[in-house]
Amino acid sequence: MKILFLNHDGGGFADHIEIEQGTTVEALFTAQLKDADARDFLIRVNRQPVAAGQVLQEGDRVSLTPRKIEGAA
Amino acid sequence: MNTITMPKREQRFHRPLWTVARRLHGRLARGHDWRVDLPESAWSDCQAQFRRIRKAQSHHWEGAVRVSRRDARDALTQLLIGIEGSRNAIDPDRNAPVVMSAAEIYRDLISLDDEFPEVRCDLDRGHLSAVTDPIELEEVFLGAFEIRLHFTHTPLDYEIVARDPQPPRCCDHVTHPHVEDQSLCEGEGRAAIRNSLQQGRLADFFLIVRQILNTYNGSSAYVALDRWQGRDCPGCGSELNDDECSECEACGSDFCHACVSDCTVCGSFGCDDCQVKCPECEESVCRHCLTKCCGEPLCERCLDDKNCRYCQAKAQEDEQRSDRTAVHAVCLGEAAVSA
Repeated sequence: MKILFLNHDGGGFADHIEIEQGTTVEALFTAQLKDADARDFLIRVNRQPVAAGQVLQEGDRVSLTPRKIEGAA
Repeated sequence: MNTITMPKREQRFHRPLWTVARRLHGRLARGHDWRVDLPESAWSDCQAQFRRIRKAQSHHWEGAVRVSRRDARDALTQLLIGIEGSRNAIDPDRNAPVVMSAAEIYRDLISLDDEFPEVRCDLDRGHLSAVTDPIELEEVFLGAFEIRLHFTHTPLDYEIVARDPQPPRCCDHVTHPHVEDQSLCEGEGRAAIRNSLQQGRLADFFLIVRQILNTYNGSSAYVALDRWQGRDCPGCGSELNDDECSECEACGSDFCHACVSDCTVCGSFGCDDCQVKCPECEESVCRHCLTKCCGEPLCERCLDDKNCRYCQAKAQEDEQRSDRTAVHAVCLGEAAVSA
């Protein structure tokens, strides 16, 4: 099934990606950001905070936003 | 003034917000093109910084070299971000939506109420504002900030307005380490902000900006937080201004210009405690440029081949004496004849 995946760590591009039925938010995070810690990100599904074990549905909009994004001068 | 507050998620359809979403979608869809820019300005910045380094090196300005290298590092970081952004934007395998639908933009607008304590939409002025919780970084209270998006501008732009400004003592146009004159220097978030605005992902935009405001990057700030409350010169106690202070290259502390001097030998800046006077010429020099001969250490200018004046004279005298002894040796065997 297809979901819209938005990773704001870096370029912040939106991608439609294919995932297996029954994929949880936690599994998606691990698959997409292998070495990252989920506690360092704001994770939203359809614009709402969710539990790690929530199962994703067809057409969901998943966004990952780092808690710390460094500005400059 | 036609200002509306955001409806709660569970409330019914909100027509004014739907109108904003529809207009925004129309504007973004019309303004969108497939052009992908190379990070040329970031590259120009890098070139400029490298020119500064070379100039500082040619003049032996050690302090300026260090500052320029730091600036060059930041410019290179921006270039890498720009390259990454261009590479992703041109990638044909990415199938991201070009512009969000009006319905998606509407849902974004509604969702803002869950993320921010205050959200407002001013239809007359074309502002969409989300206000952060009060922000405190490294125990410095900065207050709440309004992220004000101008949704009638093409391309979309925004400003950061301090609700209860807490500027540093040295400059009142800086309200946050990364905000000057209401403009946020986006740093790492630059590409993500640009993409979210181009595609109309407003919820993402407000969230990214909020997280930048909640992060402190001490290596690249308009005013560092440890200088926010103001500082005094450790030498004379007068108030230090960022534009009018010098760093002692020996101890690393900042002083007012009156309390530092440059070494007459190597040109490095030093405070009164770290610089010393050469006992011979009484010029100010750093400790590295003093060399010990037979007595007190002297600066390089007062030494000739690492010998002080006294030792030079002594060496000369010894040389003359040995010359005389050599002459006597040549004349050995001749008896003096009195007149």
